[in-house]
Formats: sequence, C-alpha cells, structure tokens
Amino acid sequence: MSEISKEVFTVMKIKTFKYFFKESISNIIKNRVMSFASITTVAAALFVLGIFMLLVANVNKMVTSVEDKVEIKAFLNDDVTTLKQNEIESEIKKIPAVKSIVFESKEDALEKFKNQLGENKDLANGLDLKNPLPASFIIKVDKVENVADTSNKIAKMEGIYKVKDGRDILDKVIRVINFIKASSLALIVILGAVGIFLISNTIRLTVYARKKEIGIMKYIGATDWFIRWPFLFEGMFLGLFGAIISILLLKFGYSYVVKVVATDVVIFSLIPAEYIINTLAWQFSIVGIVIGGLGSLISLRRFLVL
Amino acid sequence: MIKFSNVSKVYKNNHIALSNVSVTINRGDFVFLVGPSGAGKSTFIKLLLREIEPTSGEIIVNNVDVQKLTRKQIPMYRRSFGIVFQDFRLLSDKTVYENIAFAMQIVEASSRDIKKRVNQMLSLVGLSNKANMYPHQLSGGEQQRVALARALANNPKLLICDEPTGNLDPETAWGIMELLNDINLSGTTILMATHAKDVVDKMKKRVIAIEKGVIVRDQQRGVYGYED
Repeated sequence: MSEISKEVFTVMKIKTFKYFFKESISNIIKNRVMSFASITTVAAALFVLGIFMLLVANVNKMVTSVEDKVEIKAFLNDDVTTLKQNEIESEIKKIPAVKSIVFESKEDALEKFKNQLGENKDLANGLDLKNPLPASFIIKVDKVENVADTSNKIAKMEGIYKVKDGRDILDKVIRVINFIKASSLALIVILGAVGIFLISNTIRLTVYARKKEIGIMKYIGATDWFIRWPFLFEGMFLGLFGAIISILLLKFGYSYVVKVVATDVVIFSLIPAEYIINTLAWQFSIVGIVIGGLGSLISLRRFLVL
Repeated sequence: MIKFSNVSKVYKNNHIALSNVSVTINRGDFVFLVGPSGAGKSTFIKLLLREIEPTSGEIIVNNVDVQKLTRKQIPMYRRSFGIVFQDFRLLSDKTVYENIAFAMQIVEASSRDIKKRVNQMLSLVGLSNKANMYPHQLSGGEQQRVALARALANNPKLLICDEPTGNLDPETAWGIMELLNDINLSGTTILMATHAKDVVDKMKKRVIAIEKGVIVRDQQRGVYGYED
C-alpha cells in the first residue's frame, strides 16, 4: 500500500501539464460560443473595473496635491499699518497648529495673478495703478484636521476682513471619491458574479460533452485531479483572455484620453498610461484567472461526479 | 490474486445482488463468469473495480484489501488491471493510436515508453496498419481489439472483460477469444463475464456460475450450462 500512496503524490510532469493545456484549449475552441460569451463578460467586468480604478487613481492624485496645498489665506483690511501687520503676524504664530506664515503684499498678489494669467497677462495691466487685490497672510498648519480651528481663531482677529481655506472643496472631493469607490465596488461584485456564473456554465457544457471520456478515464485509473485540471485550466484561460482584452481596451482608450487632456486641458495632469501596463495588467490577469478558476470549481463541484 | 470471502451486496432497494460469495482466482487463471442477466455478474465486477463497496465480507486483490482503499488510492488500484467492455468505450475523437496512448498518458508514462508500447500493442492485436484511423472507421471486432490493446497498454497482471464479445458476430468473437487466450498464456490473469455459450464451451476453461447472487457451480474445464 505504501507504494500506492507514494505514487499518488508524485509530482506532475511537464508533459502532463502540456496535455492539460492542449485539452483545455481544444475545449475552448469546441465550445466557442459559450467561451466567447464568458471571455466577453470577464473583459467587460474588468474594463468597467479599470475605468473606475483609473478614475479613483486620478482623483486621489488630485486630492493629494490639493491636500498639500491646504492653506489658510487671511486677507488684511487695506487700512492695516505695518505695525499692526506685525502684531497680527506674531499673534498668528502663537497658535500651536501653525507651521508657517508668509506675508503676501498687495504687489505680490498682483504679480501672482499676472503669472496665473500666463500669456494673457496684459489683461492685468490696468490694475497696476489702483491695485484691488488685498494683502494677506498665507498660513500652513500641521494637520488638515486643524484647519477649521485655526481659521476660526484668525477670523476673530482685528484687521482681518476675510479668511479662506480649502476645506469645502476638499470635503466635496472626498465625498465624490467615496461615492465612486462604493458604486464601483457594487458594480464589480455584480459583474464578477456574472463572469463566474457564465464561466461555470461554459465548464458545465464541457463536462457534459466529455462525460463518456471522464468515465473511461476513471476506469483506466486517472486520478481525480488528472480529470479536473483540464477543466480548471479552461476556466482560468477564459478569465485570463478576458483580462487581456480588457487591458488592451483600457490601454488604448486611456492613452487616447491622456493625449486629449494633455493638449486641451492644462489645469491638471493625468496619471500616465504606462500605469495600466505596470500595475493594472498583472493585477487584472490575476483577477481574471481567479474568476475563471472559481467558475470552474463551482461547476466541477456540482456537475463532475468522480 | 482475487479472493472474495463471504461477500454480500445488498442494494438500497433491498435487492440482494450477491449473497455470501466466497471464491478464489489464482494468478494465471482464465475464468468465465456466467449466469443469467441480473444474477450478480455485474455486481461482482463492480465490486472488483471498487465502483461499489460490499455490504459485508472481504475482497482481496493482489494482496490489497479493496475496502480499505482511500479515495486517493482507488485510481492507483485500478491501474493494476485492464478492463474491456461490451461497448468498447473508445474515445471517438481520438485515433486508434491515441486511444491506446491515452491509457499511458494517464499514468504519466514517458513519450518514448508510450511510442514503443503502443506500437507493440498495435502489432499484438494486428492493427498496426490502422493506427491513424478513428474508431468509427473500424469494424466492431477491430474496435474491441483497440480496447484490448488499451487495457493491456500498462501491462496489467489482471484483465477484466465484461461481455467482450457481446456485440460481435461469432467469427469475430472467436478472433478476440484467441487473442485473449494468447494473453492468458503469456501470464495475464483473465476474468471474463459472458453470455456466449459457444465460446465458453469451446475454450474449456474454469467456469464460475452465479445465480440469484449465489455461486451455484465452480468447475475447472467447465461448460456454459445454460440453454439461452
């Protein structure tokens, strides 16, 4: 008996793997209609997933850059004297959360505005004589959470006519991201389930088509896993093919979007398209293989009685 | 080689298929298993293949207690014998050569061994010139020869035949029997369930007759003994 149990655990040979590979590919071709449906579903599911991932990644990138820039801008009344200005500055510095403080004079503000206008800076020419822009303190705090508290304190000080901080926009952006994340998760779960269902159906057809063969294999002494592997391979291939198609679609689609954004919209830059190849490609391949393998296993459990 | 000790099999519907059967088949024997339909021949073979388990009693094959086999050990156990069926059970989308090679692929034999052995088997059953044909292109007798070659490919010590000549005309059947006799003479134990009176009577081998689940006759150089 020991000889038998030893043989059960013999390592699978490369030749056997080749056999599994060949069998699964030939099954996919024989079942081409269902195979096509399965591959398309997986591709669609991963394509949608990809769009959401790219969306989230880009929004996240924007948020990080915004978060970095979270600063409080305290505008001074035009009648504030230099002395008063120094008083305010030292008072603000006393707030523990304040990391840095920079004074921006009326002239600085105008210069900055001109720079923002870029090629159109001539538009600001008339403003030099009667500068409408107020002087301000630009304050950075240690943590985003301390922004609200700090800006409230500054707003109460004498000589300050207005305080601005980026909290509102930040909150809105974070809320949008969370919504995108939640809805994409729901969509991915649904599409993933459809993919698994379709693949398990495809495998079921193959199992039925090969019923006779499976019976013969059992009599000849094929192990359970020798019989199962080709079906498992088949599912994993379907998932992988779907993943590859979705990656190609995403790559070409996103490269186009990046190109358009780069030429027409200057305000923000997108994550480069190489991101798809470097990060998404292998992640999606694994997800595809897992979806396919799961679909196979479900079908094998239900329809392959060994 | 095969030893049944007080083996009984009662199916779920309380049908008693085998009742207290004890029999020993020795290495090198050629045994016919005869009896009317539903007598228990199929149950006997299914028990041997470990497709079903006995309700009581013990079955020893090649010093292996068949009931004690774990699920994982069953395939290895089945590799120790070859099986031939009445309906051949060849794979229709594989050629003659591939059908025989398939049995060896399953046991993960090397390509060189497969090539050598399959050609050897093809010449043994006289089908070397039809290696690349598909089962549907062959006559019934030829298909059964392929099945026989497949059953013998892994060099089993025991060959189990379930009505191997049932679908063949008498002349073709006789050809198969001559082949089986040769195989037996080269040392392979053969257990053959059959309804073929002519064959059994002519071969003059050991005959075990089962009726209603009981062995009613066990005869060396026996005859079929039924008029059907």
